[in-house]
Amino acid sequence: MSEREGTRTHPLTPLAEGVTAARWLAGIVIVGLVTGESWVRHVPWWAAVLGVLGLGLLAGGGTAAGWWFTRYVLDTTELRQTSGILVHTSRRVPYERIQSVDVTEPFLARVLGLAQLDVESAGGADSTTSLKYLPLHEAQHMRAWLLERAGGADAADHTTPDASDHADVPDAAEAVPALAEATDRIVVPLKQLVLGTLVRLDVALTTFAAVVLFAVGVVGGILAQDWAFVFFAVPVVLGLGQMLTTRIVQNWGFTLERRGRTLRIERGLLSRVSQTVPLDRVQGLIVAEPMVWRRLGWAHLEVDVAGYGAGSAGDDGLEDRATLLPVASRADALALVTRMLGGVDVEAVPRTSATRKARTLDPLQWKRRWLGLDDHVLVSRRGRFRLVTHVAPVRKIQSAGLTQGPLQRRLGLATLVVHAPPGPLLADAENLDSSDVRAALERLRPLLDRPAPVVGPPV
Amino acid sequence: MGRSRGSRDLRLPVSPRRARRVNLDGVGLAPGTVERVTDLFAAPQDAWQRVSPALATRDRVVAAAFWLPFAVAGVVVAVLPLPVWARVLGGAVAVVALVGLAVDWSLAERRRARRGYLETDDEVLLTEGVMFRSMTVVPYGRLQYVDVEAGPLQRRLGIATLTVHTASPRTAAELPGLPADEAARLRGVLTERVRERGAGV
Repeated sequence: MSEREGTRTHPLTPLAEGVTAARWLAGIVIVGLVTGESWVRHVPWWAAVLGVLGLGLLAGGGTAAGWWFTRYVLDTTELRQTSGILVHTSRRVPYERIQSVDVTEPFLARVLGLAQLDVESAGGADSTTSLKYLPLHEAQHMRAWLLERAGGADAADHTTPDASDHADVPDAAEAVPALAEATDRIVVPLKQLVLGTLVRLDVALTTFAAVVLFAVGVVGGILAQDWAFVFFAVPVVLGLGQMLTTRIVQNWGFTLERRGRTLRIERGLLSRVSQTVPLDRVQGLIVAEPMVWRRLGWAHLEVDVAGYGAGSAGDDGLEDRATLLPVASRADALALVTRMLGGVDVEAVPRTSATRKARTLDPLQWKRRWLGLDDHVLVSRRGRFRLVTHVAPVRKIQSAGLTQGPLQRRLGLATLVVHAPPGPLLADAENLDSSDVRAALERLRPLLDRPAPVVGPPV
Repeated sequence: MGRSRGSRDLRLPVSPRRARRVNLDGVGLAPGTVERVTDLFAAPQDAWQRVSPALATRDRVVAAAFWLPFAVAGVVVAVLPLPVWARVLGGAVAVVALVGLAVDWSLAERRRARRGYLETDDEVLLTEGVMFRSMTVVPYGRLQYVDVEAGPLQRRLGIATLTVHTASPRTAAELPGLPADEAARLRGVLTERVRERGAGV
């Protein structure tokens, strides 16, 4: 059986985690005090404080025990982590399966100078291996070390996992040194971030609802001399405020940098997140343009990497690692997409659009729907209020096909289906003419089986 | 040798106007491909291989096993001296079950006839479906692994189900009704391809 080998993380870890637990308890007590809940009155203040401290100690004790029994080893071929007090759990992550490595600093850990290392491998909800907490420098050093071995370092590394043995190694050797110097840096200005967060349809609707509730409450209060209605609006307003603040605080100082073959994303005000994604692990890109942003010429860019997306959890609401650019001008976003794909302009790809025949089945989206395909990428655009463009590099497509339902058959339409590894990317093109779909599939077939080449040099 | 085509299959006349609008050519599509492929689900080369007629038998047995208990229960309830509403309900359930059984029974052979597979130099293609038709292309270079399964009924009938997996869970490439030796042969061939071409994400 596996012995408990390896090193533990930093000893202050239980403190950082235990304080987090106590913080929630204290929050409940404080909210109770402020709103004048009855249970708070019946409990003497010293009992409440002791209770919070006691529960905090318990929680801290629990996390301390968890910390004591968690160890990790960085082997020659894999990372191993053993954990669990009663039930012994062992997890192995071979280096070549690593999709990305992130260094996050939740607020409390940051205060103590610690950071968390998240190693992402392809998989479902449980695909992240977290080392909590390490000193910041150590975490960053370990990240560089792991990325080198995952085959995604900025330094020349030819053994990218999806290059088969048939790949032209001489070409890789020529291409990569030229990449190493190429850098790109995009910083999202605060003003744009705040404006972009506020100018969204869901924000507008929630604000509208809150205002209406508040007005109803005030009117009811004046008429019925009962101000209880006003308090109904309070949670909505608080919720809205929290949603906005979280979005802004999480994406504060958003900096996207491309160094050769890796992407580096840094963001966060109180908690910092530093994500590193090797370009070879990018399975797709999604450009989204919400309705109101289109007038301002802004777009939102997301990246699909195995292990990111809905399944990957984070602390302190640091999820949503899939965001590549929260708010950017459309030109910037598309230029970045072009550079990441090695010079392919997504808008210039030969395309076929949905025709009037699709109007019955697809009244809202048919006008804006098109499918683009060339040797490197497959692009699917759709949407009515929120325009989305899904870009799938052909080398990441696992299989493809076409489907046709009975209604589509009557109208002479079909759907091109594109299968990629699990993630938010959905590059299917629905309700196009059958002959166009079949032609696209025939065009796509010979491209799929090619041994995956190294990603082209950036323009 | 000739494929049996139902009269419902759609023939797509490719008008010159439509051919012009298909501007995906010029980058590798052989000229006239669109015109040649007049049926949306035609095999790209040669002809689809078909699966064993025993698949229809299996589907019918499964349908019977599903619907008959409801039919029997419905009839029993309708016949027993129970309140009227219960007997009517029982009768309705029995009717629905019998109709469902009849539909499944008659569709079983059509579904089997629509299933096809094809091995080319670079990929394996599958097609299926009567109402909701599909065609899937799985390149050898993306294969992760291949399963062959056969439940007791399938074993009795001498057939098996082959499933092809890629890194995408959406590739639901399942091929039931293969004669057992053909399933074994195909799995051997595909596993060999996996080894040759390798698959990584």
